[in-house]
Parts: sequence; C-alpha cells; structure tokens
Amino acid sequence: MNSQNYSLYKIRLLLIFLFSVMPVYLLAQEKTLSEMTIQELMNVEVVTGSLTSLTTSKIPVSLTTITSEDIAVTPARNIADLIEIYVPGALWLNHTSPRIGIRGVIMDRNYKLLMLVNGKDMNQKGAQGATLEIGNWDLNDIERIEIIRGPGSVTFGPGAIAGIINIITKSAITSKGISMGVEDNFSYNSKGAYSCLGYTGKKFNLYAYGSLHYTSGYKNADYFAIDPNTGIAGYLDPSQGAGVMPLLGDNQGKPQIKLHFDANLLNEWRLWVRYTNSDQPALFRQKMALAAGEKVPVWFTGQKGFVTVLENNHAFNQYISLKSGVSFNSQSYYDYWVTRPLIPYDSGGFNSPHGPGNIVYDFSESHILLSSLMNVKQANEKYKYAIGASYSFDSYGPGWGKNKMYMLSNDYKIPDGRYIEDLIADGFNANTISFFSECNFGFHPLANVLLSARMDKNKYSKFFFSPRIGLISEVGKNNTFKLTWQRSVRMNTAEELYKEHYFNNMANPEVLNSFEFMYNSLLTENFLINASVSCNWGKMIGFVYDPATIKGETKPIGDLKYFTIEVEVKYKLEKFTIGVNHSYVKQISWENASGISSQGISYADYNINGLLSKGNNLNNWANNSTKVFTNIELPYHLTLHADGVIFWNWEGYGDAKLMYDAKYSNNDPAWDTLNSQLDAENFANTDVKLNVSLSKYIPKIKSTVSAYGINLLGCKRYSYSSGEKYNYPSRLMWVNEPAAVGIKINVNF
Amino acid sequence: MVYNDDTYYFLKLITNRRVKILFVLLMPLCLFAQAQKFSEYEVKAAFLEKFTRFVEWPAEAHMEDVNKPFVIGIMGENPFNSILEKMYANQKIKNKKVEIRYISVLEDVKNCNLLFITQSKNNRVDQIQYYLKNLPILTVCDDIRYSKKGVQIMLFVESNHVYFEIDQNAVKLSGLYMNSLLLKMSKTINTKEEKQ
Repeated sequence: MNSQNYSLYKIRLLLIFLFSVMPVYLLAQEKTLSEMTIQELMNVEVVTGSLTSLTTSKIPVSLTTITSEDIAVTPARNIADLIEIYVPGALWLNHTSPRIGIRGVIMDRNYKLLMLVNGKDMNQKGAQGATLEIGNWDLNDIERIEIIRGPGSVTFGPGAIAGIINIITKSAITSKGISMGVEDNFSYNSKGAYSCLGYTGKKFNLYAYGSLHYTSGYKNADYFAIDPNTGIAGYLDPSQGAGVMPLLGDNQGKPQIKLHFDANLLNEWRLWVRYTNSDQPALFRQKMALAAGEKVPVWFTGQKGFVTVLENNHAFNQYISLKSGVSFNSQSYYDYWVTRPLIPYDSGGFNSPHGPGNIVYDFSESHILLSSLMNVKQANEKYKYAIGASYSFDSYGPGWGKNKMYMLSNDYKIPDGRYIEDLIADGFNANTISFFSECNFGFHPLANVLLSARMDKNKYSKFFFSPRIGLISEVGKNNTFKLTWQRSVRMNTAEELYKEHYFNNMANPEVLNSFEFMYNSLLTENFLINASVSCNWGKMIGFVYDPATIKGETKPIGDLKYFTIEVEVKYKLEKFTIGVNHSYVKQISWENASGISSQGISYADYNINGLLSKGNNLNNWANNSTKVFTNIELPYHLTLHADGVIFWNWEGYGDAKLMYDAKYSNNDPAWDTLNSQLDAENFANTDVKLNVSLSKYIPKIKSTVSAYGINLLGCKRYSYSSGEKYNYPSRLMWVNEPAAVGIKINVNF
Repeated sequence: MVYNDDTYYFLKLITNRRVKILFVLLMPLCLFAQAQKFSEYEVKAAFLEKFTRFVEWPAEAHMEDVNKPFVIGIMGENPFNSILEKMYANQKIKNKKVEIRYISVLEDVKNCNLLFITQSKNNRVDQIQYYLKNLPILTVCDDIRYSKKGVQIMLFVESNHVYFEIDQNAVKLSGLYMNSLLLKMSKTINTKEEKQ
C-alpha cells in the first residue's frame, strides 16, 4: 500500500469514471423548434420553467413575491414595511436600523438573512449583515421582491438562516420610456422625487434611474423607555434635555440617494451599476444629545454602497448555456454612539483607549466576485442539472474617505500582548470560494427528487457544507406537495473570523436544520391556497472573549428547536383581489450552552442577576400573526387598497415580565408600579396595523395619483431585546408609530 | 479488519476532502439526458410564428409592405426572458423582420400584429379588449381567464405538452382569416354559442 500504488489507483478510477460518462455527451442532432411543424411542436415534452428557475409551484421553498403593482398601491415607508405587510411570519423591530425577522429568526444584526439585488449578495460581511436598501423610502425602481421564508444557504450562500430577500430592479423591458414621480409623506415630512428612462433597441436595452429623498422624520414621537436602575418608566418628554429624535428621519439632513443603471447588449451581456445610501438615527436610542453645540441623535448609523456587475449568459447550443459574471461591490458603514461613556480598559469595558470613544464602527469593505453557473438546457422528465463556482476577494479597511478603520472596537488583546485594533488599523483581506450543484430526478410526476449541495470556504473559516434534499409531488394539474430537508449555515462576520484567527482558532458556523412540508393548490382558476409546516433545530453561535485568559473564540450559545405553521389563501376576480395569511411560530425548546447564562433568543433557560428561566418562547417574536390585503378596482380607473396586520402573543416579552415578577413581586413597589404601567399600555398584547390607499389612473396623461394612510389605528413598534440583565427591564421599549398620510404622483411618457 | 489494496485505497479516497469537493462538482455529470426537451416558453414562443402561417391579415394591416416589421407585442410581465429576441433575431414572419415590443401602455397595442397577453395579475382584460375591438391583431394568451374573454388563441400545458384552443368568434370579430387546418389541430371554444 505505497503512495505510488495509490496514485495509480486514483488514475485508474478517474479514467473509468470519465469513460463511463463520456458517451452521455454524444447526443443526436435533432430539429430546432423553428424547423418543427405545429404537430411536432405539440409532441415536444416541455419542462415548465427553466432549469435554473423552476416555476413557483415546483421550487422546494416557501416563496412570497411582492410585485411593482403591489408596491405602487401599498402604503409602505420602506422594504421592511412591505415585507411585514405581505410575507407570512415576517416582522421588523427597532435597533440601529430595522431588524427584519422571518419565521421567528431575528437578531440585533441582520446577518441571519440575505439581502440580494438582482441575485447579487449585498450583505455587509464585516459586521452587520443586511444594511443597504432596507431603510430606503424610495421603492419606485423595484420590479418585484422575492422573499424566501426559511433557510436557503444551499442556493444563495452562507447567511441565509432566516430567509432571503431578493430585490429585482426594473429594466428597459419592464419600464420603457420616461417616468417621473414625486411623493410626500406629510406626517414624516418625507419628500422624494425620482426619474427613470428605459430604452429598448434591436441590439441593446438601457435603463437609468435616479431618486432623491429627504426625510425630517416624525417629530415628538412617543417613545416608551424604562430606566434600568430605578424602574421609572414612561414616554420621553420632548421638552427635556435636547429632546427626542425624529422618527425615521435622515441623520443630520443627509438625504437618501439612489442611482441605478442597467444595460443589456446583444441579448447576452448585462452591465448594471447601483448606488444607494441611508443615514438614520438608531431607532432604539430615542433621545437627542448636544455635541459640539449641535443636536444629534445619541446613536446613529449610516451605510452607502456601490455595486457594478457584468454578466454574460451564453448559449453554446440548445442544450448547454453558461452564465458568468464579475462584480465589484463596496460598502461603507459607520456606527457612532455619541454619549457612549469612556470606560478605562482596565475595568474590562468596551471602549478602546486607542481611538475616539464614540465610534462603534467605521469601516468599508470591498468584494471582487467571479462566478460561473452552467445550465443544462436539455432535460427530460427525469434529469435536470446545474453546477457552479465562485471566488470572492474580500478587502476590509477604513470607511470611504477615512484613514483609519474602526471595526474590532471591543478592545481585545491577543496572546502576544498586542491590541487587535492596532493590528487592523489599515485593514485586512480575506477570500471566499464556493462550489454548488443541483440535480433533479423526475422519476414520475408524483415523485421528483431534488438534490442540492454547496460548499463554502473563507480564508479564516472551515469548510461549510449546505445540502438539501427535496421531494416534489404533483397530484393532478393543480396540487403540489413538497417535502424538504436542508442544512443551512451562517458564516461568522469577517470581524469575528479575523479576531478568532488571532486567537489561533477557526470558527465553526451557525447551523440550522429544517424539515419542511409544503402544499400549493390552485383550487379553482381564481383561488389559490398555500400551506407549510416546518420543524427547525440548530446550534446558535456567538463570539465570547475572556480577558482573564486572553482568549476569544466562537462558541455555541445554545440549542434551539422551533416549529412554524403558515397558511395563505388568495382569491382573485377581475376587479377584486383578497389575500389572507396566518403564521404560528412556537419554540419547542431552548437550552443554553455550557458557560452561557443569558442571551437574547429565549428566557426558557436563563440565570443572571436574580432573573431566572421563564416560559418556553422565542424572545422578540409574536407567536401569531395574521395579515390581510385587498385591492378593489372601482369605476373611473380608481383602485382601493387596504391591508391589515395583527400581531398577538408576544410571549417572549411576556416571559421577561414574568421573570421580573418572580424576582420582585410583592416586595418592590417600583416593580409593581412598572408592571401595572406595562399592563395599562397593553404591552406585548395584540397590535393591529391598518393601511389604506386610493389610486386614480388618468389615461389621457398616463399618470397615477395616489393618496394613502399608514398605521391608521396607531401601533407599537418594539425594539429588539438582546436579553434582560439589569435591575429593571430596560429592553422592553417601543415607539408608538403615528398614523401618517401622504401622496404619490407619477407620470409616464 | 484487513482490507485488500483496492478497498484500502477506495476508503482513503472517499474520505479525502478534495474528493468530496470533486464529488459535489461531478455527481450530476452522470445524469445527462439523451432526449431533446425544451422549456415551456421556448415552445410557446415557437408556436407564435407557426400560427401566423395559418392566418391572413386584412388589407389595412399592410402585410405586403416588407419594409415594416412584423410586431409581436408582449402585454404584462414577461415570461419569455430573452427567448423571443433570440428565436426571432434572424427569422421572418410574413417575409418581414420581427420586432418584439413590451407593451406597458394600452394604446400601444394598436401597433402590434400579434399580441401575447401574459399571466400578469394586473392585466385588465376588459381594458385590453376595449382597445383590441375590431382591430386586425392576432391575440394569444396562456391564461385560462382570458380565453373566455375574447382572446383568440389560448396556449395551455397538459401532460408536459403544449396545446392550443381557438375562440372562433373572437377571430371573426378581429377581421382576421384563420385557415381551417389550424382550427382542426386545436380544441375549439365558441363563446357566443355557450351564452345562448
């Protein structure tokens, strides 16, 4: 058994393998579609949908699509609002920016979901996950948004634990000619204008879009906050101190700008370029502060991003095509906590004596991505195939126009005595390589088996493997049953991976396994029903640093099991559409990992500062949510839209109350007063949101005028809670979102 | 347990990380199909040209003017991607070059010779029918709702094959002449008779 014999063995095996598959490539030349007669066309067996994008009923995921027509009539301030209105089991909470949760999975950073634009991953990998696009008021350049509920890293890459949001932008084909529009939300003092041009020629199509949006924000919003030390709670007084921050306003008057350019050439090449930005106060720090004589929010963040993508989709013949792409993506992010106290390093605090005390983050990241996906167009009922690979060069450095990088602001020493912040002041690099493939075995309409696999590897991580097995069964023309098992992974942030590298560790990923059963049915030509049940379990991770031993590593923080049930019905007539969906999410169990006593996911296993385990629920989640939307076509080209969302059973927040109740009940008047206040405020009870719009299309001038009302009943917007640990529940806070009205006008030429 | 050389090498090979990666890449290569198959919308795109061979336009459509293109309009969300452009880049219809237009404004349908109405949920059939009334435009759809609303040809998929139905009354109202051979190959709907 020597190495030479082993080498010979490998060569023998490879030759056998290659010769066994070679003949499969030798396919007979057959007629093209253009050469066929009508009778021959009717004899052709077709695959509904393409190999790499199956029809909705056949892909083994729970998918929600929000179209441009939905966006035009729906009163929504941003993408987070849209998702909350239409997607079963989705909501968002306040934090430094909107934090979107899907099917119970939500964090203080949006790194458990993937944000894509035209299929391109736009997540900030350094620290925060999905930051771009989410808070932008302007939605007029969006053709549709596709949201996959639940894990999906096998198809889209590491990070897709909660779900995937894919924004598909308009193009010259969908938006021909010139369009312009203005909008004004009177209550938030948010004004915007956009303009776009779409040109289609024989050999090329062009689309250009630009928008500018200024938002002062809703002044004197009702922010409810609790003092962690005294338990004194109430709505902040805008006349106190520097006041309270305007809700959803631009930070320091910086407008939101969006620029997009998209060109298609020779039906094969596509170049698109995009820039977006948004700067907003941190939504969970409600006050303003005086800094250098100016009123600023006590905490604010900003992100801006530029991406350019060049793609080629080449068909070698009618059987094989290759989609290749190269892209450059750069994002700059800052996070400033103006009133952050300076804590000397020796006391084990967070602040670094090496840099300004109020910078939490200030860095940029750039990625050059090369990718390739081969599609086999030739398929039969039995086999479909796709295979691809990608390579990304990742660079992390100072923010755009800055000369120092602030990322690893948790001031850690590494074993040799140096500070990590000093090591990365000028930045660092990494790379990521990925392989993916998919195979569909169509044995019978009742039994289609889909096998998918993906491997990812970062310079500072181990190999991550994400497999999926799907069984799709079509019963008759209108019923589809789908059963899937998949393992999704989340690679740690670049910040955490790099830290761990200097502690001589290599990170394990966060893993979520999911079993899901889905049913889609077109009961009649007008009536659609979708249902899904999923069971999910996984090991959640976090970075833990011990200053005593100067050791930092990614460690499990706990084991989570939960299930979801979703039902969705849609009924559509020519002039009337109504959709209703309901989601139920319930934790089965949560168990802290060894050495963990508190976290933000569940109070089911908890022990800190006299606060002990309570309940068995997901924190930061409404176990039940029901959503309804309707569109009614009225005479005179009028369209009435209404949508409503009901969230109830915020049991996780209720568990926090019960924890404090158990600690203080009947022996702390401050807690009793606070508890009564929370009950009086209907805290963690039922929230109802209602939006309405009325649009009129004016054919003579090809214009649409729309008037809308948002949150007509008023509603609470809670802040994300990372777990209680103080004397009083300081994380139970919210803002009463006001009813708001606005108007939109757009014109097409 | 004692293995022979081949077994030992095989076990060593399949536990190797590089081999696992190669397996992910090569696994589907075993499964290439031999039969010729196409996507649903490729076949539907091909049907459009076939239909025109059995249809005659009236004089006011100026089909004899080969300098003007034969215009295929797509109304609603485009399910073809770039299939139509590729298929008709070099293919003529009625001896005319083919131009594909994506209709976003209803008035533009009047400039089409053939109009494909897609399954977009926001296509308002009543408005489309209003503009198409008495116009010599061949209308095709693949949404069952429209086939009962006066669209002339409906494409549908059954048992993984594409077929079509023809609404003869809708054809008559348009002023187009349709060869009986095409009618024989189709499943026929007669909306006027159903109402009576």
